[in-house]
Amino acid sequence: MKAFLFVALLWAGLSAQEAAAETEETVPEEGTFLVSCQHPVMEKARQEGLTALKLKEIPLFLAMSVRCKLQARQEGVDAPMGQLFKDKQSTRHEEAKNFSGLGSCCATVTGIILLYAYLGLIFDTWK
Amino acid sequence: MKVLLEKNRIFAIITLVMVIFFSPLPAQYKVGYRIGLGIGFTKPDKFNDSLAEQEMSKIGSAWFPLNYDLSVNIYPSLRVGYKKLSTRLITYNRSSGDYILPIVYRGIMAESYFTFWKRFEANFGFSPMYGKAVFMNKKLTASDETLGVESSTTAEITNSAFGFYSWVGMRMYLLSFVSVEGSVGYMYSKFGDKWKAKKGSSNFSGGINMTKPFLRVAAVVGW
Repeated sequence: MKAFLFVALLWAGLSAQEAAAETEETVPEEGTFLVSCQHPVMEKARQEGLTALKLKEIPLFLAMSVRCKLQARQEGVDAPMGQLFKDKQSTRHEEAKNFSGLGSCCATVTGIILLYAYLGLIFDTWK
Repeated sequence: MKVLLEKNRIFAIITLVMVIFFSPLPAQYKVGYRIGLGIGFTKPDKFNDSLAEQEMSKIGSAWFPLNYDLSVNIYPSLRVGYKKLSTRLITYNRSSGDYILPIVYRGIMAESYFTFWKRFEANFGFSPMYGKAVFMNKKLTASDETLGVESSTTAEITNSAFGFYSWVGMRMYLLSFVSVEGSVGYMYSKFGDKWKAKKGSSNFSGGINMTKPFLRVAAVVGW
């Protein structure tokens, strides 16, 4: 009877350890080293933002970000990228909020041409 | 010597254009590629009269060109690039006997823009363009009796014209690198009465007036 109880306790303990190990696998681990996620281009994007990447670095960044995601999924680690893209969009949005110099000149020229064209079209139709 | 000078002149012009358009790239590199579909209206009355004289069916007065452009930011809220409007891939302007009329416009573009409501952008652009219209039949066959073989051949006449396209559009950013947009514009262009053949001359005449409103929807991928 004592031996049976001992085996039952041992079995319960082992199952509990396995369950704990399974839970640990799905919990994000910040200390996990993933080669693609630690690439210099990825580090630059994280530290200086996506707008700091040079043209030739963009394809490499895109490739590395996909690989990073895949590796992170395999390791059960969370590697969020969405915020980087959101930050880039808001930076671009802030940059282009206002017209200036050549931009306003181009818009004015286009506006006048279109206004002239459509007024001409309307009055031509009414003749 | 003359040939050498001519070659150097072309090289100098290309270098100058490259410097003007690409020198700000390291500072502001944002690039965008736009692909979309446009609808334009034409007035091919004289052209259709010529077709009628040849007992061919008339072509329609609408054209649906595919629109491609590649642009680069060179200044805050200003981008420049290369633009193309083309019905060469899918030609809806058809006459009888497998004759088609693809029209292609190519040119440089300048577009200014400003953003609002986080995800939206209003843009204003213009583009001086060079247009080429080809009235052609690609489904002709030529046969050689000596060898007893048949092969396909093409008959075509061409016409060209300068054009000016300007537009006002609105873009919605779905993601930071993907957006959709629509625009309302106006095209100024007119193909003259004379049509050219590759060899010899063509009796065919009749201009096409392209000066009409032009609407466009597109998807844009950019960085």
